[in-house]
Amino acid sequence: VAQLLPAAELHATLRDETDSRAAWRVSLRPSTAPAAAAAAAVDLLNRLDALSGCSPTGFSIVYPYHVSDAPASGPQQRHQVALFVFRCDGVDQWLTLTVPGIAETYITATPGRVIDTAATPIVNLVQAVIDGQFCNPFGYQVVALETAFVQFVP
Amino acid sequence: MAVTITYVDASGSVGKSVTHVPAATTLADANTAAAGLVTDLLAVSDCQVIAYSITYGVTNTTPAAPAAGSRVENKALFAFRTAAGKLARISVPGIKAAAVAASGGIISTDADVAALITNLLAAPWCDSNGSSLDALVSDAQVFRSTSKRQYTTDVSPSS
Repeated sequence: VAQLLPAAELHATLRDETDSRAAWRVSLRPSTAPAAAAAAAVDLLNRLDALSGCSPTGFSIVYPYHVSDAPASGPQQRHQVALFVFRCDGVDQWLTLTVPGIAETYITATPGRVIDTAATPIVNLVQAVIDGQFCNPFGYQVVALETAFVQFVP
Repeated sequence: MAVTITYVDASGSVGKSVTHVPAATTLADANTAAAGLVTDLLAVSDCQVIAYSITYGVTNTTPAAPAAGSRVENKALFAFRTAAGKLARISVPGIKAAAVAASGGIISTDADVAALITNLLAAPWCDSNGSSLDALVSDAQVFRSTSKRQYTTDVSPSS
């Protein structure tokens, strides 16, 4: 069971006259809903802006969850990555999802190191992505798996 | 908004994967979706998922121009006592000259300084352990680097 850590974080970026960037972080209570946190962040950054010659260029609110301290379950290193390419509900809209340390069991003997998309755990994963309201960075909903193969990522 | 999942393999190397959920998704729903995805990821990966985070990003598409002479290294550093008795430090990059005393301290009676301090002492802000910021204990002007992306004016990408 994932556990929300004791503090969420506001990450803001500021830019000075020379275009140098400063990362600015302040912790906040994780029980603060995202909309309220964003409103509080805007208020705080307005006050920061009044005091600084730098200008804020954006911010994000990060909610961190701890999952497990257990060791890895198998020998495969994180460099062997399964790349799942999903089609989304827009023209030329895709989502790529990487799975580091993909287990050897799910790689077929087909040239190109293709993922066995008929294997039950892979089917479950693909279905979780499609059913779990995931989208690509532009907000287009995932519709179907297009392809899945292995890459080596240093 | 982004869901970033962090893995560790048997050698201790750390990897990440990122996916997204629509911006209107509530934190609770995003967490449910992320937790479900983690379960299915664990079934196909030899790595262990150690953590994930859910990030709501906001980009200022029309940022104001920084003030002439502003430098991110020129900071005001504020130290706060937390409810747990620890210290939490928060800096202000590019502190305006009007807020800095000749001694190098920060003029806490300056209206803009006071407004920032008042805001930080109120909810929802806290330290990284979730302890509230209870009181300002010190302030000073410091010169510190913040990030690798630092330039002098004559090598700025915009010049």
